[in-house]
Amino acid sequence: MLVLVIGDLHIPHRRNKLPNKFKKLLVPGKIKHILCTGNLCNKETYDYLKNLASDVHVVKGDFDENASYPDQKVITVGQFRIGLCHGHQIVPWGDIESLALVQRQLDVDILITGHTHKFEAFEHENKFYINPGSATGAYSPIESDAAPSFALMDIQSATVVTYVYQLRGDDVKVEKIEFRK
Amino acid sequence: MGQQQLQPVVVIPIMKAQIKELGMHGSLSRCRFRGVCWRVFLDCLPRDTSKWITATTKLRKSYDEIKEKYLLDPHQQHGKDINIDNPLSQDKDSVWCQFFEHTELMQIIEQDVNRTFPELTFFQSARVKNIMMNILFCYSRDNSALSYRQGMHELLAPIILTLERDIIHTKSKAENLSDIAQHLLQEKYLEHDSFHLFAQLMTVAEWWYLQPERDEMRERTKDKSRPVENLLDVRLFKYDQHGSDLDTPSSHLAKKVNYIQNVLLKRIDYELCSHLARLDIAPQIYGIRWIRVMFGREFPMDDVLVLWDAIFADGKPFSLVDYVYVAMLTYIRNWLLESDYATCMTKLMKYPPAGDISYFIDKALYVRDPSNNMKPPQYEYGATVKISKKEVQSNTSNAKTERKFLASYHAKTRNTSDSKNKEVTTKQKETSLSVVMKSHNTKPINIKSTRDRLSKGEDDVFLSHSDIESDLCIISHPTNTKTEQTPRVSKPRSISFSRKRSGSERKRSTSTSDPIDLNLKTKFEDLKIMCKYCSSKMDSYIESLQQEMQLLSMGDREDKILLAVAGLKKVRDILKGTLPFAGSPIEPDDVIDTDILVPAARVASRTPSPSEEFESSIDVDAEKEDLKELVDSSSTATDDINSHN
Repeated sequence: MLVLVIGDLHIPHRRNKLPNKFKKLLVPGKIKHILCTGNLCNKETYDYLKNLASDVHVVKGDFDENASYPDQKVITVGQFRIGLCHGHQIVPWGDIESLALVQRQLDVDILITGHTHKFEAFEHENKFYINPGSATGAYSPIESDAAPSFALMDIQSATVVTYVYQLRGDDVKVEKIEFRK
Repeated sequence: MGQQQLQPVVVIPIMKAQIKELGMHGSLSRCRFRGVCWRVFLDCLPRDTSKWITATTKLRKSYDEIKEKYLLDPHQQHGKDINIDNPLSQDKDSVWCQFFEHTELMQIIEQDVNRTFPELTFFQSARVKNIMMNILFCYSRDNSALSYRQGMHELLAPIILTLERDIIHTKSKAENLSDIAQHLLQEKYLEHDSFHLFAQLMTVAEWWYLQPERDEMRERTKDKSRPVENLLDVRLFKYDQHGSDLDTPSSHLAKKVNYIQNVLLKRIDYELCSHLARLDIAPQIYGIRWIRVMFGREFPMDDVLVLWDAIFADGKPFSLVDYVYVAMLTYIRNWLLESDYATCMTKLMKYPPAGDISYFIDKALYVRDPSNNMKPPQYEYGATVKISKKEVQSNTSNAKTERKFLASYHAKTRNTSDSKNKEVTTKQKETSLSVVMKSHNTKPINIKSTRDRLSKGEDDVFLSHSDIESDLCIISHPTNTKTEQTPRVSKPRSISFSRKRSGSERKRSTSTSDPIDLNLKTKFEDLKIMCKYCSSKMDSYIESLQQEMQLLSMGDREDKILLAVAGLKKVRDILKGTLPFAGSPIEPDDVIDTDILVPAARVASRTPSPSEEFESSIDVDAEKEDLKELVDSSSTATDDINSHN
C-alpha cells in the first residue's frame, strides 16, 4: 500500500508551485493515503492533494490558512500506527530526543514531522522517524537552500519501504530505506 | 457406461476419430473423461497416447513460467536500479509501472469473474474465482494485442467446470486408473490444464474478439463518406447505421454474423432471411453475443457442454458454430415470422428454452453438408411448447385435438411421400402406440436417469412421433379440468393458424400443466428407449435371418423374401433414426381440407390402415411379435441398450 508523505509546500508565500518533475510523478490512482505535515498553505494545494488520493490527512503548520487542522494526528495503516505532527511545536526543532518524547506520547511506530525543510529518515530505538522535507524546496529559518523532496512509504504487512524523491538540479533522485517492525 | 467404456480409451491408444464420433452425437455427456477428450480435440494432447505424460508435463511447466513472468510482485524485486524501479516511475519497463497496469487489468477481470454464471455455485467459490482470474490474466498478458475482452470469462468457465468434473469423478476411483489418467487428472494442475485448453480455444475465438482500431472507425462513421467500403462487399455494410455503435461492421465477427444471416441462412431458409432483412434486424445485435461465448448464454450449462463437445469434436476452426447459429434461427423461425421488430429482438436477445440440444447439432451438420448428413426432423419452438402443454386445453374435444394434431403432423411430413415408407411408418406408429399404452402405467418416473442416456438417433426417431404420442396421452389421461374452448372456425385454415391458436389457449390455462408435463416426458423417454431397443434387436434378428437365408436355397421365391428383408431393414433404420421418417399414412393431397373438417371417426378409421401394399406381410408380423416381446422387457432393458451401443 502506497502512502505519500509530503509537506511544507508554503504555496503561495515562499513558492508558487510544486516542481514540474514532481507533478509528473504524482499521478492519481497509485497512492492510497496522503499524510501531509502541514504548511500547504492555501486551499488549492489541499485540493491538489485530494485529487491524488481521496484519503488525505493534514496537521496544522504555523502558516496554514485553514485553522481547523489538528496539531497532531495518529493514523493506522496496515500494522503500523503512524503519528503525524508539523514539528514547529517540538523544540529544539528536529531534535531526536524531543521527537522520541512525542513518539512515546502518541505511542506510534512511525513518527512523521516536518518544519525543518530538511529530509530525514532514521530508525531510533526501534521506531521510525520521517521528515519529508519541503516538497517545493521552500526556505526555512534554519535551511536557506533546501532541495525539494517528499517521501513515499510502501507498507506491506510488517515492513515499510520508504522511497525518497529529491530534486537535485534537474533530476529526481530516488533512495530507498527499509524498516521492519 | 462412461466409466467402463472410456477407461480403456485413456489406457489404450485410440484414434481421435473414435471419440470424435462420440462428441458429435452428444455421447460425451456421461463420459468421465470429457475433459480429456476436449484436450484431444483441441490438440492439447498429441495423437500418440504414450506421449501424453511428457506433453502435459511440458505444458504445465510452460504455464508456470508464464505465470511467473506476468504475476509480478514489485515488493520482491531486489537489486534493480531504484531510479527506474520505484513506485512512481513513469518508465514503461519498470516493475512498478507494469504492476500498476496489471492491477488495472486484474480489476476488470475480477469484475467479470465475479459475475460468471451466478446461477452455478461452482463459480462462486474463491478457489475457482482465483483460478479463473489467474488464467485470464496470464492469457491476456501473453496476448497483449488482444488483451482481455468481456466474454472470455464465459468461454473459460465451462472448461474449468469440465476439467474439475473429470477430476472429481475419478478421485474416488483413483486406484483403478492407469498412470496416464492419474497424471492427466490432477487437482493441483487444474489451473495449468485449463489455461492451455483455453488458450487453444482462443486461437480460434480470438478472431471473434478482435476489433479494428476504434478511433479509425469513429472517424469513418463521422464523415459518412464510406471510403473503406468500396474495397469490400457493399452488401455487408447494409447495417452500418446500427452496427457502428455496438460493434463496427468491419470487425471480423460482425462480418461473420452478417455472412451467416445473409448468406448461410438465405441458402436454407429464404423466407426467414428476407423477413429479418425486412425488419432490418442487424445480426450483430444478438449474434455477436451468441458466438463470442459460444452459445453459453443461450442454453443451460449441460446443454452447452454437449454443444461444445460437437463443436470441438468437429475441430478447428469451429466452423460448426456458424451452422449451429443457423439452426438456432430456424428453430424459432415460425415464431420469428409472426413477430414484429420488437418481439423478434426480445426473442433473439433472450433465446427461448430448447428441449433437445442434439437437434441443433444435427441440424447444423445437415445445413453444412446436406449430402452426407441426415436431415433432422422438423423441430421448432412453437411445436415443442405445443406438445408439452397441450393436454390442458382439451378434454371435451379429444377428437378435435387429435384431428388438429394429426393435421399438423401430416403437414410436417406431407412434402415427401414415399409410398413404401408411408406404410412402414403406419405400422410402426400402431405398434409403438400399443406399447406405450401397455407400459406407461407401470413405469416409474425416471426422466433424469434416462435423459442422459439418450443419443441423437433416438431423439430423431422420437421427434417424428411426438405428435402421436401426445394424442395418446390425451386419450389415456382424460383430465377433468374444464377449460375454456373457443368455438372452432369451420372454414379450412392453414396449419399455422391452428398452431397459433393452441398458443393462445395455452396462455389462458397453464396452471395445471406441470404434473402432466412430467408424465408426458416420462413416456416420451420411455418411447425413445423402446425405439432404440427395437432397432438394436431387429438388427440382430435380421442378421441371423440373412445368415439362414444364405444357407437355404429358395429358388424363385427368393426375390420376395429379399424384398421383405429390405423392407425390414428400412423399418429398422427409421427406428434407429438413421433414416428420416418421411411417410404419411394418408394421401398427402388435400390433407388440410379434409383433416380438419372430417369427423373424428373417419380419421380414426383411416389411420391404422392395414398394409396391403406392402410386399409381404411376414415382416410386419415378425415385427409385431418382436415388439410385443419387447414390451415386457423394455422397462428393464435400458441398461442393456446402453451396453449394446
